[in-house]
Amino acid sequence: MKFKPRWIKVLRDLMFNKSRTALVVISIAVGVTAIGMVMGAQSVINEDLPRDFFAINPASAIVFTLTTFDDDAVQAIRDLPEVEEAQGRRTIVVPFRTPNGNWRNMQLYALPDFEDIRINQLKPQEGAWPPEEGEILIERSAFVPNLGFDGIDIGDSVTIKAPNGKEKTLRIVGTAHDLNQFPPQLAQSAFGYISFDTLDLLAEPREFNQLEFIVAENKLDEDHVKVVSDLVQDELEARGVSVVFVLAFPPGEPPFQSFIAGISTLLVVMGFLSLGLSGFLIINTLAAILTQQVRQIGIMKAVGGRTHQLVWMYFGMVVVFGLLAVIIAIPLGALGAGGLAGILGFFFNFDVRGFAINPQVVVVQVLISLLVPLLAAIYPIIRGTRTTVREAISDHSMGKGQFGTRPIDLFIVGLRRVIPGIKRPEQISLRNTFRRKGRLILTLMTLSLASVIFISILSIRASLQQTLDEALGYFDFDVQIRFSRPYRAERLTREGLGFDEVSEAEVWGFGGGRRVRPDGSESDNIIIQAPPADSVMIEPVMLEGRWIEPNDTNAIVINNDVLRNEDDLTVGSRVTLSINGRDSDWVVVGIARSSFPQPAIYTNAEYFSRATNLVGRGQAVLLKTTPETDLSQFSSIIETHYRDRGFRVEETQTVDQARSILTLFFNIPILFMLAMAVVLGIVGGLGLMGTMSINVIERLREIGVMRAIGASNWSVLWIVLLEGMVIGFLSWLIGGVVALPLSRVLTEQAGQLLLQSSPSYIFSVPGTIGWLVIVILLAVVASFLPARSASKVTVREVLSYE
Amino acid sequence: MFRWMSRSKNGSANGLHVESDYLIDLRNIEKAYETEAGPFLALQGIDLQVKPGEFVAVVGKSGSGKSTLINMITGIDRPTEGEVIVRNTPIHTLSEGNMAVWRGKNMGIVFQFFQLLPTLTVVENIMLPMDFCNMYTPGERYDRAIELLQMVEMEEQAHKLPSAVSGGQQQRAAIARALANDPPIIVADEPTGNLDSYTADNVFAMFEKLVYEEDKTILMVTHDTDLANRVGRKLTISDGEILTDEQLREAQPA
Ligand SMILES: Nc1ncnc2c1ncn2[C@@H]1O[C@H](COP(=O)(O)OP(=O)(O)OP(=O)(O)O)[C@@H](O)[C@H]1O
Ligand SMILES: [Mg+2]
Repeated sequence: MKFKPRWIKVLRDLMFNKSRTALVVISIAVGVTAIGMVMGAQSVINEDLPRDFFAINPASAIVFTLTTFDDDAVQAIRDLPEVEEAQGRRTIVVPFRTPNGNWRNMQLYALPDFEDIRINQLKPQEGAWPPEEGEILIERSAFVPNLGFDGIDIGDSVTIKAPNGKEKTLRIVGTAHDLNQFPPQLAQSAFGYISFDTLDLLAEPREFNQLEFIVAENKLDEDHVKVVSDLVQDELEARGVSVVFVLAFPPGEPPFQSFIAGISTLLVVMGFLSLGLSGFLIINTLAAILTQQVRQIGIMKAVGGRTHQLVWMYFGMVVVFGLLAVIIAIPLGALGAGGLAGILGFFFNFDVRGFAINPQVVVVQVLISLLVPLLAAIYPIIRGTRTTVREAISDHSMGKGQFGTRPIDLFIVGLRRVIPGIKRPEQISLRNTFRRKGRLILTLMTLSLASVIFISILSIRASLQQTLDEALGYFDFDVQIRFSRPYRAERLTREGLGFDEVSEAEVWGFGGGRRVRPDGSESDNIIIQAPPADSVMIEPVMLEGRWIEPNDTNAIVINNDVLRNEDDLTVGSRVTLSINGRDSDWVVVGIARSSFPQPAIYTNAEYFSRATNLVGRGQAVLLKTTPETDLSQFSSIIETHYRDRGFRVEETQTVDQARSILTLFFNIPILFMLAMAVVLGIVGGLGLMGTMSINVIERLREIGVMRAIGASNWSVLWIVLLEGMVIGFLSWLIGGVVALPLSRVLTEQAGQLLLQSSPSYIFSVPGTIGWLVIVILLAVVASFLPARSASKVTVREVLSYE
Repeated sequence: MFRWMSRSKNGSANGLHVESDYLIDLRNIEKAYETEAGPFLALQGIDLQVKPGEFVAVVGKSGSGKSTLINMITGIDRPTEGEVIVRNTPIHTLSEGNMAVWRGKNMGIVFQFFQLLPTLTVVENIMLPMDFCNMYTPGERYDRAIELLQMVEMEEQAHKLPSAVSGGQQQRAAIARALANDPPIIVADEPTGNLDSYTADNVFAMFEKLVYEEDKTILMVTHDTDLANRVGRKLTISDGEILTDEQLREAQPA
């Protein structure tokens, strides 16, 4: 089949202007790729994560206990009609020696029977299964150099320190996948799995301290799971088991589902933003193409072409742009989706399998790569093809980028007087910038949007960091060691103060309780921290009321995260707490700002120890060290020391560690957003490049004239480059002004999404300045090609132009 | 010797019809342009009648209103006052869209500059009007375009892009394109304006052939007095008025 001449013209125009075609196609492709990448990743995540997750037979809830229990207790829970399945595990934290001689912590799980794991199943990966006595499996995503296994292979041995302080050597026989665990990459800690025989070897009793269960009915009903959890807890407590807390998960949802969903929502928003920017680019470029073709449009009309025929020709051209773009965008988007899903899979420890081009995503990509450009093209095409033959062939009323008629123009001309020493070429650049106002506005919109987003993201990041620092700032200690049972406070402090590095030591009570509401229902478990009233280790930020005082009895301070579920509480409220199965009455005297996004109750250590029959004892020691102490090293030394003295250490944390874990946690979404901001920056740069090359083409004649009167290559180049930089600077200015209020709103949103609370807000000044540098560089890069082609214009070429 | 495939139908595209004894009938035309110094009368009280088969040259000083007058006839511009009736159609009343269709079928236009679309080959440029006006079957269009090129002695250049042929050749191709839909009227605004005298002569000969052998009616603006004196009728325009209207030769019977 032969094409009609008009379609031949459309195709030739595309072929003869390869760089222009490429520019438009890339502009569209960027947005469509972003959409494909985000949607593709989303579909992978939505399939692979739930599939992996439901395959492990996830628990409805996990009960953590202080005292241990045996098979009979597990069987008793299993026999409850409300419970479908129950299973016990034992978990202990042990230090292990890394190849470079340091000690790091590893969470060890002991399972009674690896061939019969019923809940939260562990999946064998590489090597042997199950581990025999003296053998250990390591969680696969923890078995990496950055978590202490540098240079260690399957078959090698690892030395751990048993709870009784003795060093034992276990052979690593394989890896396992434990999707139920907090992902090791995020926890920055290792997980190991051993048999009950190995527990013997470590001189630990063959008993459980963690109970997992699945409810029999209404598995997806969160309230029902809570009711059953209470029953389970009551049953355990009736058997003399002391429960620390019950962790129930949002039913039917993989862990971090909402977090990942949050990230992908952000990404989708970014994807559509870049698509919107593509739209602006298309408008700009098409408007320019049509301006360039005014005479051709006139000729076509003179030989009988009707407006609607021309409209279709140009729409046809846009369709070709869209099709070319989608050809690039489908594979690129799929590749990006695979990469994105892979990154998420790595961080959240699930397998990204069977990745392929998703037909649904492709359909969406095709639709938007046709629709968005067509929509963007409507205005320039309608306007451009309305040109009459007379307008096209006469030199009257052409109105090409007139300068000098608007107030802004006079302002620009007036600048000459304000900025001393501004030279002629710079003046030309400034005036050129404002000649095509519609085009300038669109270009500015694109680049400014990129600026807004970039500055906002950096502000969000700075704000979250600030929030975290504030939160951690009111923990005025360096190392915290928690024990799995209470010890005499005096013994705990004495051991700590025995080190020269320790300047102060304090013992805190620690526990968990549930609020018994006036209507008889119970809240989730809330962590109770009991610092001494005169504690020097905490500097709370009080939102209301006061902090704990020395002769307080049943006074409590709650943090604002408690209010999320218990919004009836205020200063002065009377509260009933169920602690270790016993109800007691308390009074709220203050509300403090949360440090971690986690409900917590603070109370006077002295009274708390009496209320829990643990007078003079505590479960956590907090240490302040001298300034020159190397915390990461010292924390493992002192932890080892406590262990060697027979203390059962549950967990050691330094404030630095806490900071880096939390930082990593919210840096992941920030990272993704930054990646998208970079994409937006690229789109903005493309837009600028398009605008500049159109400007240069349009002004070939005057550039030729400048050359004819002696302008050097450099001054022509400089005039164009400077114009680009002026546009870059303006977009930075506009972006900054918009980001100032907008980043505050976005920070609030991000805080709610990632921290579940209102973060503090700071506007990122370094980020703003950094973006100025970037945007100016971007402008230089984007204007360079057009500027160079301008500087190569010869007088002769210009005369033969058209 | 040329096998014209079909004559275009009478041009009253949308039923509008005004009886006129002439092929082109301009009645009391005035054209005013809005300028900063107030309205400027580019044409004042023009009456002009052209019969089929006439070859009319329009001459006059620069700015006298030649192009403006020609644009009235092609419908490229509209009069402020008066009527333009071409082939019994009051073209000043046609909408922009109907005008394009009407013009495509009834009028071939040749400009001074920038004639051909730069990304179409010469032959494709000539097929374009047939495409736009849906004249002839798609299969016939190419053959017809080649025949027209033969007539203007351009068949050798048929597959070149306009940038690869000379100015005179471009002009001849433009004439071939003006004939694409076989219109009865050809209007040319300084078609030889930027050609050397030898090439201009050649192009002019082409026009003569169209009038005397193909029964076309031609209006041509020119600055070339020699050429102007070789046509059948010479109009001299000055300050928007017809200064003289000289019959140099008898028109060919239609
Ligand atoms: N769009 C317009 N707006 C204002 N004045 C116009 C416009 N078009 C033409 N004129 C004026 O009308 C007059 C006639 O113009 P026209 O183009 O018809 O002259 P011309 O005889 O074709 O001249 P030339 O030989 O230079 O082509 C001129 O004075 C011109 O300045
Ligand atoms: Mg003229």
